[in-house]
Amino acid sequence: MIIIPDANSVISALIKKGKALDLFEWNDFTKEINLTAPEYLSIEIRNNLPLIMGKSTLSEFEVIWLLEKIESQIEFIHFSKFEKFIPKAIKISPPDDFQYVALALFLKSKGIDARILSNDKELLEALTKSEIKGVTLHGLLKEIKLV
Amino acid sequence: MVELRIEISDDLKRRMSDLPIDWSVIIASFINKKVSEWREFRTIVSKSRLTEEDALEIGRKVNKDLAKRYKELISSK
Repeated sequence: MIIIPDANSVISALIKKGKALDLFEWNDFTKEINLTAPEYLSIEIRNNLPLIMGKSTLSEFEVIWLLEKIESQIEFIHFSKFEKFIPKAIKISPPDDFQYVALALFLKSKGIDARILSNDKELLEALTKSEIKGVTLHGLLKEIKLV
Repeated sequence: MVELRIEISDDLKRRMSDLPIDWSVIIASFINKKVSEWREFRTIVSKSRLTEEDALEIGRKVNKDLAKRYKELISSK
């Protein structure tokens, strides 16, 4: 199973008693889900560290340690690989989410069906009208029988 | 001490047999490391005040910044 987590899915792992944490923990042991994401996702999450630290009240060291643990499970795909799918992705997705759709389109061109993991209703709604599938955290947890 | 029974393929068993390693020590060490890491993860996260709404808000901000970066990369070509 190939899953493309969006930024929210990664950051949600830092929620106390959150379900995203259950998913990443389970997957670290089982390796049943191949997580893949667009290049620079990690960097842009780092660029928003003050916001994450402010909301979570965790220290910089703690947030970075947690993020590194989550991101170690994710394969980041270079921009050049999915660049040519961006124009099509822009037509499908909400304005700020095309990178995930472009990556999914690139993988589809290679015969790999990848779904985008997101809790963003606007993105999930947009995907229902496209060839790319989305899945909510709850939906994925149900599939793997964690809820 | 307790015993843990695991199932592996015949092929893996053959390949493991070629190596002079006490696999029970390796497996116990692996499990201990993973369990300890995730226990530490959960201990840190238990102090977090981040909410679902916060994560969605920050996620949207990150997505926006990421999309901007890609648009700049495309326009710089």
